[in-house]
Amino acid sequence: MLGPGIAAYLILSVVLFTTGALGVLIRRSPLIVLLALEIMLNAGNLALLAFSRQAANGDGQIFALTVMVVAAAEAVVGLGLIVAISRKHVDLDVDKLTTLRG
Amino acid sequence: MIAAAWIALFAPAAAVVAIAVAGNRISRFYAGVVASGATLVSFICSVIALVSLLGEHPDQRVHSSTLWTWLSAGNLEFGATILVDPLSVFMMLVVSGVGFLILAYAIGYMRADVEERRYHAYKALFVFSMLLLVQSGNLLLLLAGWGMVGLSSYLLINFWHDRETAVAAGKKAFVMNAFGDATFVLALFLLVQHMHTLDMRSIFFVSERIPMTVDGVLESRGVTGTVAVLIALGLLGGAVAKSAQIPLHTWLPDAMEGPTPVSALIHAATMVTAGVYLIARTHVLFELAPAIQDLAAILGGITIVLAGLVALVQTDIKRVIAYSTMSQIGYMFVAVGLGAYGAGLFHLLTHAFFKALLFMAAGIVIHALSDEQDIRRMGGLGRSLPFTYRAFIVGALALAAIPPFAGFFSKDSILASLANAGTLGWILWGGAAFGAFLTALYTFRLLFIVFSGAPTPFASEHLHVKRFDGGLAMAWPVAVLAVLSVVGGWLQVPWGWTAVDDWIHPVAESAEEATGVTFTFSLVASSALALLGIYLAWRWYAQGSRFPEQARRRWPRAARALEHKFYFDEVYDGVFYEPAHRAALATARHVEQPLFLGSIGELSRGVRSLSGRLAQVQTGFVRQYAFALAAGVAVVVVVFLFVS
Amino acid sequence: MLTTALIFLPIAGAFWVWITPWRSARAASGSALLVALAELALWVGTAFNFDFGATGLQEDATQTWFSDLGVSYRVGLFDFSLWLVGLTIVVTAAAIAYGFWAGRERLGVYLGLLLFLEGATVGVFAAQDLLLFYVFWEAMMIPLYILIGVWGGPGRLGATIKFVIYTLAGSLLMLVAVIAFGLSAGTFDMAKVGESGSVWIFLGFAAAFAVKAPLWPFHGWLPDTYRESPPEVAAILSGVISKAAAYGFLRIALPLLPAPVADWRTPILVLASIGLVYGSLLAFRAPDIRGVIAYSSLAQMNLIVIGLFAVNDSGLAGALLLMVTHGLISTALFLIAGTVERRAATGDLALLGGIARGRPVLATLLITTGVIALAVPGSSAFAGEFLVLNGIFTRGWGWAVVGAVAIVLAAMYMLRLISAVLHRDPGPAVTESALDLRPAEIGVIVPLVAVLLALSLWPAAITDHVFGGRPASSVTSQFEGTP
Repeated sequence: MLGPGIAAYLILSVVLFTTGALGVLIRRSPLIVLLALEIMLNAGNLALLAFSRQAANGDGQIFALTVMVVAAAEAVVGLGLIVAISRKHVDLDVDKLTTLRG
Repeated sequence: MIAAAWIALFAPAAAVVAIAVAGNRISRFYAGVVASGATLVSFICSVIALVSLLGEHPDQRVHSSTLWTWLSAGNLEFGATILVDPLSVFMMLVVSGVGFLILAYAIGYMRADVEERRYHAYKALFVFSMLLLVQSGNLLLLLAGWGMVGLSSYLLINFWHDRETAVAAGKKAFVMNAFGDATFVLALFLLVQHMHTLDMRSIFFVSERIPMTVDGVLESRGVTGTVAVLIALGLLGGAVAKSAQIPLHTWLPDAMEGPTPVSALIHAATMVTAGVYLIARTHVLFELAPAIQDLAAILGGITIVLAGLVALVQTDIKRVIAYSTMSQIGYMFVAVGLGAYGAGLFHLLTHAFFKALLFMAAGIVIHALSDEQDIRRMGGLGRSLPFTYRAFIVGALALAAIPPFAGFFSKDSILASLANAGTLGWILWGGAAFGAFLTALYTFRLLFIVFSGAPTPFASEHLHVKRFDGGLAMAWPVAVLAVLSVVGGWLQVPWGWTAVDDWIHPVAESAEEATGVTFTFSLVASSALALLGIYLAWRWYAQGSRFPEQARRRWPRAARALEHKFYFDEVYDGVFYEPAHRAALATARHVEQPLFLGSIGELSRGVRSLSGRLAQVQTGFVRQYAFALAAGVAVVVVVFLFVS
Repeated sequence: MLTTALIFLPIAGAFWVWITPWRSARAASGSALLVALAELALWVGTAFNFDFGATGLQEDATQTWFSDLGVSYRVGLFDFSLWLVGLTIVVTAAAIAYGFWAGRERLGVYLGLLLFLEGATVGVFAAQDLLLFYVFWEAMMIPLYILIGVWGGPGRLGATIKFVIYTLAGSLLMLVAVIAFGLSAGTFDMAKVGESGSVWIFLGFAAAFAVKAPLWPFHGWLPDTYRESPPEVAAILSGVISKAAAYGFLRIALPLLPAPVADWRTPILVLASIGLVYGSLLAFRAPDIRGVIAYSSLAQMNLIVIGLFAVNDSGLAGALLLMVTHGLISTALFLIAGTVERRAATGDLALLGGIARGRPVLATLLITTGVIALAVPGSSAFAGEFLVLNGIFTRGWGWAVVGAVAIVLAAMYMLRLISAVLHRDPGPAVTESALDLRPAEIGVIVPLVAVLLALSLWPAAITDHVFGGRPASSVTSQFEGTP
């Protein structure tokens, strides 16, 4: 088997995931938060594919495809929400969108 | 014969359905014709059954027929069974015969009432229920008839339902009878437990043949001792409630709130005598518990005297007759309690004639006086209501047991049986003889106050009389009953013949009556007492003696006790109704409200405040949530690493 | 196949009524009524096909659901469940017809919910798998929450919350019991799970059934719910849904958990006896029509439980007869109460009275139903009570004496209701303009009363056709003949 070993893939995946997680935690624009979420999902996908390749079966790939579908659906809903929010002329700042507090 | 008996049973039921379905498509008059016509059909069918039974040997006069299984459970089966035997045919004749006359009378009496059709339907329902009671060949079905006569009685007592008193009286009658039903049903449970059936033929006619006597099978199934006593006691409870005997009698005087024909049919001639029928019908069970037989007789004896005393001071024309009914049924209870079934049933028959007659005559009086029932406002009606006056005299003489009127023969038959029944018999004889005196006294008090002397101002002002006093429709049944009140007693004549005893004999063998000197003494003594009663009534009430007033003043407490009917109502109110009422209110207020209805409110308030506090965790800052998520994941990861 | 059709015809009908954009409320409700009548015809057909001589499951269908857990879609009818299904269908048809006539808001949705409720309830009576039973049980509750919460009276919110809390608590305990029972037996099929001696499983089921019946002291939800629901929903609640609980005792507790039933008989009989007297006493003093009917329902349900826990021929046959009879009685009574409330705008007994004068049909129907309800001897309710008390009498005469006391109390509260509504002078809320029943109302209530009268004439129509004629032995041997 050519190419770098599984460790390289996993390290990249961890880096991506951390980047995404920090983005979610730190950034206040919902659009960026959504982007960061996508990064996290794709980090997961990368790890899944790596494991799939190591285990030499297709299960991980199927998982990854499922995740992509979910990610796409989520992006649609998320972007829809963002557009709806901006149409209401509300600031696109997650710290100001606190209507749902208890 | 069986077919005739079924037709007799269902003809009145068909009338009920017809009147209910037809609604106002038939005239009020025709509703009455349908109801009384159906009863006439029943009577004709009863006569057919009588004739065919007469054609048979006395030992074979028992037939039963089951059309369908009414109720079942596993091995238990209760059929829709009728029994055609001398006792049931005897009762069928009384119920449908007297019933027909009274229903026919009611067409005239109820004319122009707003809800006449409903009245006739109820009346037919009553006849059906009563026939079911006396014809059923199954104790469960008998209980069904038993309950339904109570229901019809309730419906008819509060027929004029915008009267507060009528509604209360109806409820009282029903609830007291429900009490009797409850003890009845408990007795049936005990009987089912031992006999596994309630079919009369299997219980009473164990060899499937008459005579119906104790022959050891009931005992062998364990119906002895306490069990037998409890069964008989339960049945007696039902009988006492239905027949308005002390201590379950207070509903009957109030029941006079119903229209007068109702009082005549249900609360004099038929339904209230059902207790007597029940004891005669189940005498085998009573004979296994002699103590309860004696109890029945003693209750009857007490009722004779107490009801007779109360009747002396009543001022409502119908209530006087109602107390008289209680007292007369007391005679029947005494008789059947001591085993004189023939005598008891004979009195039931004659009583049906003359008591219905008295009520119907009273009904004409009440009508003529624009629905006035208070005898203190009546007087001197003899001249303006000559027909009614004569009918009333016949009824009164029959009730007071003056020969040769009907009551004389039946009452003397009872007294003669008592004279032959040992010490208890003689004690009860004393009560019964005193009762005969009271009967004559209160009956003729009523007669003299209402009919003799000069008309009171109220009477002359309100009196309106038609041909035959109240119209032909009301007059002819009264005339028929008047004739029957004279000749009805000749069925059983001392030193002559004993038709009723012989007829009933295959079903219930009557105790021996006294003969010879004892009998003559009993006859002479009771007749003398009755005559004394009439004489005193004449002195005090016809001659305008001041003795009743003086007596009232001399013994005020006794007078008040009588006027309050010995305080039974007050005691029952205090002992049963009030506690039930209070218990219900207290339960609602102190248990249901705080414990079950309030508690859930408390609980939900608690949950709400708790969740309010918990909800503060929900800050609305998405990034806080994300951080919590990440931190949680981190903790889980650390824990996993640590554990593995 | 027929059973499946009986379950899903009304459910499909419900979706049809919901989804179709009807032009008018009349069309929507007409079609709902049509579905209810078709269901009734289907039931009559099933009953004609039914072999009452044979014991065991009939018209059954099986389909694997979760094979590794032993859960299957298994439905079928015993002879006694057939009667309860019939009761459900008759009562729902009456309720839909009444709702149609009374004209609720958003009729299509309303009647669709009633149809859905009907299908789920039939499912409860037909399910032969524990998990399936639970699913239908919950499916039965959901429409009820909505029906009461949306279409109820002014206090509907509180009533719904109470109802939800009580029933949810009971159902969750039942879910735990179902899972424990099924997992320990390796299958959820009622015919295969065998008997269990576990007290906890019994108590889990008993909790759900006791709340739903309701058994005293679990009736806290009952008065408010019966008062605040629309009359036809109250009719279904007390007429049918409460019977589902009694059916649960009969189908699950008695045959599958015989040992705990025997151990817990006395405590349950004590509770039921208290409930019988307690309900009767409260009915005697309840201030309004619905209160009287509600508490009398409580008393009757406790009486039915007494009959079931006698576990002998007489008690079981009587309990079943009483279930059907009381279902019809309380439906008729609630619908009549509804007609009275429409006319007087109140159910307060102090404001009513004198309705009988000039309104003969209403008076006749109320009196007829009322006297059957108080079990006047000769009525089908009396036949049921007689068998129930006779059954419990052999277990101990004391229980039967309590029952006999309740007979007297029943006469007291029912007659009080009748005369407070019908008799004496007209109450302040009763005006001259309040008319007698209209043909539509008569068409709904008269059939119910007619069935009651027919049953009074021949109560053996039911008692002869249940449990293959041998109640106790068929219950103790897990409904013999079950494959």
